[in-house]
Amino acid sequence: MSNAKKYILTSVTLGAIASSSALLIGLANLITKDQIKKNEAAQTRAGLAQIYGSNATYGDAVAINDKNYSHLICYYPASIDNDPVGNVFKASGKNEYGDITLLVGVSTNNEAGQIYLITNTQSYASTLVNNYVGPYNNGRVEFDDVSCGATHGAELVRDLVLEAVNWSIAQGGGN
Amino acid sequence: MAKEKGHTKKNFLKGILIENPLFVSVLGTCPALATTKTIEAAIGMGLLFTIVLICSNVLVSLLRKLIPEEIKTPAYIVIIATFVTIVKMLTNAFLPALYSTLGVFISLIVVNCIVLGRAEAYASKNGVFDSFIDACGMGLGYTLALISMALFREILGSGMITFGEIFTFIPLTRIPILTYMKSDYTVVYDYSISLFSTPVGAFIVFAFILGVMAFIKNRKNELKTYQERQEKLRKAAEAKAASMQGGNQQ
Repeated sequence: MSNAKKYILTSVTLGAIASSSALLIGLANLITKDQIKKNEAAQTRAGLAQIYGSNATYGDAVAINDKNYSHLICYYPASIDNDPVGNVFKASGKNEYGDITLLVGVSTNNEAGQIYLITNTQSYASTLVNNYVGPYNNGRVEFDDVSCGATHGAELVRDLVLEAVNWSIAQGGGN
Repeated sequence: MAKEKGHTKKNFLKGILIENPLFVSVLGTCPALATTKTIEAAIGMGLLFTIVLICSNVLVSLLRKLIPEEIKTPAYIVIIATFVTIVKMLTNAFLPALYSTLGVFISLIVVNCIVLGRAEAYASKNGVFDSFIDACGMGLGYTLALISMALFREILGSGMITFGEIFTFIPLTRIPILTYMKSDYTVVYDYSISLFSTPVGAFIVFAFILGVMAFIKNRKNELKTYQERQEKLRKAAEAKAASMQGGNQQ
């Protein structure tokens, strides 16, 4: 077999395999995307209830399209008995250990509140929850105390929360 | 025909016992240490791993004569990555609790050396049916190995076995073993050792199981050597007796 023919055959084979793979993945995406969106919406609802308690009510999501706050996706205005208590921010980010999407409450006086992880694909996922997010939510560790055995994940969470707080401050308050 | 039947059975069983990927070949140890905290997570990981292994083995075997030698490995990686991505999407959609529990370890099946190893060493040289059986055996062997590690870790680490937390379609059931709980799940006593829920505990359990396996293997070898030696002695005694008998007759 001549070299040119060999090269063509090799690239055609690899191209055909890659194209078939892309087609299969596209098909899987078509089948699963609606269900994944439904799951995410259900998780967001469950998360919102945990941020300010079940007696809080939340407005519709308001998208954040600010390039300076690229990790912030949207926020939900929260109120209890029609009194605004702050906003719940949805933020997403990634590092070399995986992705994190979270909800965080920021009060009307720009203080970070409860954190709820919607997705956590960090390789030290349970360590991050058990040693940082959980203790922080229970008031047992300080927000800046990221040395928890999953430091990179904790730093990512901290940065996402800080971005929400900073956005809130830049807007001149929680509402 | 009888030989063919025996071959299929042997092909299937080798992955479970003689060539167990985790305990004999010591492959795929990273997810084995990370996803064996609970039995449910281990079953989930084993299941996803087996699906990917079966699909990739079958496809590699089907395409083995079409893929040029020079691009074998990249082609196999593309095939494996495709199935892992599909499995990941399906898990995210239909088993979200399993997806969030296993996290990055679903994606890491792509680089699991057992999957690529079976594609290279077996599926690329054998027929579709044999490759399918090989993948089933290896997948089951790996799943059983993960479950056996998780059994130790969950009982010792949490004091109980829990079902229904990850596979949410089954009712939540807690079987206390080292703990005693009231009907409202209030813990009365707890003799669990939380170290076993940590990666350190995973290493200890893994080392213990490997140690037991090595002990059994060594005992088997010793027994075999002893039996061979006895056989030699018996034969030598028989030969001596025969020669003495021959001498007496003369």
